[in-house]
Amino acid sequence: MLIPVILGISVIIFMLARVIPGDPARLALGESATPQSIDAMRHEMGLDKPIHEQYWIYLKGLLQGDLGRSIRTNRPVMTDLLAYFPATLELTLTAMVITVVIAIPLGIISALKRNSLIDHLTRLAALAGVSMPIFWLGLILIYVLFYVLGWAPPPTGRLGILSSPPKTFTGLFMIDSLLAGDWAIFWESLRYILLPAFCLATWSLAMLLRMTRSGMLDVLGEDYIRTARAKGLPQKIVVYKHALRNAVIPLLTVLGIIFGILLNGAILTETIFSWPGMGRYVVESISWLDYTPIQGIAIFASVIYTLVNLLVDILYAVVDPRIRIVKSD
Amino acid sequence: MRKNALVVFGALIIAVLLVITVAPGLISSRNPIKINLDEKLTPPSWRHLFGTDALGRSLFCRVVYGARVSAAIAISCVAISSIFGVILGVVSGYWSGKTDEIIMRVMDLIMSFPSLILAMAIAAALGPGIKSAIYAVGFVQIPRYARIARSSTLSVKEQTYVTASVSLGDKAYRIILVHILPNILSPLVVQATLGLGSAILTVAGLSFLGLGAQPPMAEWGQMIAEGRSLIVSGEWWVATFPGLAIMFTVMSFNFVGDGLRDILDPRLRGK
Repeated sequence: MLIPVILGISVIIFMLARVIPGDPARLALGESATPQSIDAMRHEMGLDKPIHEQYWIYLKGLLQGDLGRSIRTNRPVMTDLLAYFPATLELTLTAMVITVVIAIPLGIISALKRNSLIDHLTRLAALAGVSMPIFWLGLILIYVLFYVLGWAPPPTGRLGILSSPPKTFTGLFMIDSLLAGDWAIFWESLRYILLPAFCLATWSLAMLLRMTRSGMLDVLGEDYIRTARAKGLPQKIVVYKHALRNAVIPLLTVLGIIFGILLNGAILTETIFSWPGMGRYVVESISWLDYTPIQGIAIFASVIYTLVNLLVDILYAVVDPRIRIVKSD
Repeated sequence: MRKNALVVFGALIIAVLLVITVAPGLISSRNPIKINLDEKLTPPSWRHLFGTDALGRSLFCRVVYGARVSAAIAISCVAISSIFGVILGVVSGYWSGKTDEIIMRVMDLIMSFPSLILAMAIAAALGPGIKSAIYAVGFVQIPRYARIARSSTLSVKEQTYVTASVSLGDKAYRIILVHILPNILSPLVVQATLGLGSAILTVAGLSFLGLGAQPPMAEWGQMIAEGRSLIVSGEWWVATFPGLAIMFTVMSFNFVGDGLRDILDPRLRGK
């Protein structure tokens, strides 16, 4: 499953790269290039070969992790990406934790207290959450929490401008600082990540909230819940032991989709908070009209997205025995 | 009852948007791209309801004219994705077999990218601009319509009236146009309504990144981008109002889409 998807992804991006108006060789050499040097460059870049051969060369490079070269940084895109990705990963994972920790309990409460004030409020908030552009929400949060109230740190990225990052093990500042035993940096990076991560989480939070609520409502209407109630089991046991498990496990499959939403959102959120991740890489590349990195990011992101979804499927089969049985049949 | 109130609220906002799309001059008599440096960055007041931006343009006027841009964006994106999506989905569902297999695998492939990131790559390849952003978002959303059209076609084509039409010797295009399309329309209409909102949201994101609308166009996402650096110096109004406009517009389409779903699909009523 994974290999055909990656092949397909490469075809799409390869075709996109060929759509670019203008000659890549001319672009690489600049305005003042002579026709001869452009021809030589075309030959060197393999642009004079037939298209299927070009694709073959492209694919071989891709499999070795070659995503092309950025005109702006003059480094391979892969090298750049590996430098920028940990920041995005840390932001995305934190947002995922925030999403799950807030959305699932709230969704359950909302379902249990259906049509109460708290249910209406959470549903309204969820509707607003999926309707606003998160880059706008980020700006509003910065204005209120930093500029007016002064509670949040300035949007300067992962740490204050005077602090230096912890020694790199994983590239995730919160984990690295813990490994280095540096509590001050740990708290600082936590403080700096909270606002962007919360902002990034809004969309997925709203979505997961709605799904938890409707999943829980479905389960609460099932026969086995009525049986449990009829047996005289207390509400607590019915909810925690019978309903919760059956409502939450299917939500696991959504985690993959949520990861994709978060990757999308990270590009926008990072821009607002000067977060030095893929989003900043994108924006800087765009402003330099340097589009190779953007195609690289598209491949990189979709491969990661596909891998995460695969992982979620496996995890789901591990957690829910019914899936395993159906699949082996 | 409460739900109906939300639908009415959404429909009202959409009606207002329609009016200012058709005739923005009714509400704002100023020119949305005329620069007036004497009045730059003035906070909201009676003279400039939403204040002015760094070039002294009235934000109220720009937000109002932005509705026109957003309407064009939303309608073109949904037109692209629904037309291609429905054709692919119906073909896929009606003929099944190899064609179906190939079409649906390609749809899966498009969906294996995080959507904004693919849209970004497409818009960049076409060259930044509002048209590229519209093509990109329209393309990325094709699978949504294709999947719905396919699954509805699959169930409709088993109906007796389709079998009857087949045994009467009707041609495939006639069966599709007369029997299948009208019967798969309602879930597609719901999706299209929701799609209008998400198209506005995604194109605004692309514009914000610099891949969509370019200055001086009064596009809401682009306007938020212009207000971005001003937020830390306290000029909150430049980014706030276009963002509110996006939020209310998208929310209205979501309300109305949900409402339509309830009306068109009675099985879901009361859920």
